[in-house]
Amino acid sequence: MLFKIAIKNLLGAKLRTWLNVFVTALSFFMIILFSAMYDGMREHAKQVTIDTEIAGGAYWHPEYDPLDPMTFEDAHAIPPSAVKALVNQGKASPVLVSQASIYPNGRIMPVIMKGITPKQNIVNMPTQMLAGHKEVNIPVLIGRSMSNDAKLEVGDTFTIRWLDANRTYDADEGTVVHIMDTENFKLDMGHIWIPLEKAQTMLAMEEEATYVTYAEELSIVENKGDWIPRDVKYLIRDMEALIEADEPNAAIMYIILLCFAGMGIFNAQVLSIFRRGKEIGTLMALGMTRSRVVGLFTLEGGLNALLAGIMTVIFFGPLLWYFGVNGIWLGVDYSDGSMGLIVEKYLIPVYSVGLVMTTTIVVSIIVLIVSYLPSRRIARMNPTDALRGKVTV
Amino acid sequence: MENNAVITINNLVKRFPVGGDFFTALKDVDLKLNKGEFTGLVGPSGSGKTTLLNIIGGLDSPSEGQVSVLGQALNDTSHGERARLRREHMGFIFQSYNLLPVYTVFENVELPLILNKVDSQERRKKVTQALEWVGLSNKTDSRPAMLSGGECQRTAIARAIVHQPALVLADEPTANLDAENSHHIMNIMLQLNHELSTSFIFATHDEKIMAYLRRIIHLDDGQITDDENISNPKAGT
Repeated sequence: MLFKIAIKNLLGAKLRTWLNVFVTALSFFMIILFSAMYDGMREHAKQVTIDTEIAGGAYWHPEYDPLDPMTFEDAHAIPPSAVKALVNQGKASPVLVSQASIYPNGRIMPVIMKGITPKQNIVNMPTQMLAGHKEVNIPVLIGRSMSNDAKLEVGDTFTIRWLDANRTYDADEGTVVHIMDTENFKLDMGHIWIPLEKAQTMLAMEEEATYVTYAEELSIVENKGDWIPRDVKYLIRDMEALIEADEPNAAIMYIILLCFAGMGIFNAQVLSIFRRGKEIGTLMALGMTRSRVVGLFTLEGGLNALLAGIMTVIFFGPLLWYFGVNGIWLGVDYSDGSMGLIVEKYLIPVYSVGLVMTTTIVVSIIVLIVSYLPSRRIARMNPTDALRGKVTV
Repeated sequence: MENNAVITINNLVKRFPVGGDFFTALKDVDLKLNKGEFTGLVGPSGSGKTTLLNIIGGLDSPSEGQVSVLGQALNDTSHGERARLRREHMGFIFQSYNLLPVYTVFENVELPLILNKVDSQERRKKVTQALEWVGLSNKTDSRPAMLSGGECQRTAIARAIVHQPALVLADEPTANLDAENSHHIMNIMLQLNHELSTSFIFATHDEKIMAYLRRIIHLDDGQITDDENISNPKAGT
């Protein structure tokens, strides 16, 4: 019986119903979108790191510690035969790491100099731009932020000074051959990239490497010598820890969004219910019990949430899908790493089943509560006051 | 005779809190109404007519005294029991109609039957009949906003009598209507009173209504000042 009346009320109220449903659907949409953007930002940071830096993982020279540049001096050797075989098969790419100094425009800048195979396709970097360039001594690839910091443009030359394997300082002229636009500031800030063979020659480390990045979905080779395999999980552990530490922030943001949505829904529902004080009085005069009045309005709230869910799928679903595919233009460039996390210019929301389900359930509960509380209050009123539309709470 | 009593009221007092004090709306009211009566509570504004009607309908509670309606002592009943009494045995007609604006005429009239869990076929039959009684068979799909005042009140009457209650309480049912509509409405109710033996109680100060009443109870300042039986009413005979 209540269901039948609730349906009649919802369908009969037309504009009022659609306004309530729209507000609730908008809440669904906003919470899902903003939370998905937040998740997307974190997921994207991980994906960009894997795509441009980690690939399937890496074999590290036992002395290599990327957080301690002092180890670079000793962290080089010819990779074990099995690892080298992967390189020869094009399934892995060696990188030789050393410290260096550059002198752009008369200034001195300490940098990390990395030699990488120009034709590699293991990580997503424009290393092919390093190929050729026989007219220059050392072709150099740098990132946009490095270019800005050092005030270097394509074609600019500068001195590079390094310490080779024989502990002898040497220097030569580097030429910027390409400036890459990368979202991964770790490849950009304080880095210069040169062809691997050139680096090996400069450093007197023929055929040597510091680490070898291998393609995704490759299993660990057996004859890896004393080189240490580092899988993706290990290589993104810092980022995972950062994301984990950020969980409370994400939760707070979710709660704030819920509060905003809750206030919107509460406003719409309360306004709607309180305007119906006379209707409630009439229903009570016709013999509807207080509990049924409360049940009716709560049920209407539940149906409102259901309709809002359907409306979200039909009207906002395509929008969510569009943003999921094309991303949302942030309008701010964080590629210099000032956020401490990789943030792309187009943020692509990531919609998880958990997020959608949790939001649906929580918003539905909010709708039920904000339908239940005011209707219970009105139903407790003297019916004669309700009949006169004297709603005082 | 006792079995014929629809309403029995003894020493009824009703007080309303006003500021820190109380306003006494009804004082020592004693009243007895029998089945099939066509009675009016008549008096000026503030005399206690609506308050008495609300107490009879179980919408309000007495401060003192006993009220028994259709054999049930309202003093001892819960909200739920009073709601059931209204749902099954009473009909209400309000001055401002109190139709649900989002429902059609048919749906408004159908509502008491839905509350009484009458099956859909039976509902359709009874609603159709009620709308025929009040002459609104051609307005079933209209919404209240599309109706005239007279049509709204006729819809409210149909809603009040569709479940054929023993008692209909009408609070100023013609206050918003012109003379022609008022007479039409009163004739409908008088006819229902004859055909269904439904007891009607009106709260009114409308002279047009008084002409139809078989019994007039005069109220003034919360007290019954006169109770007259009209053997030859001026209208509707």
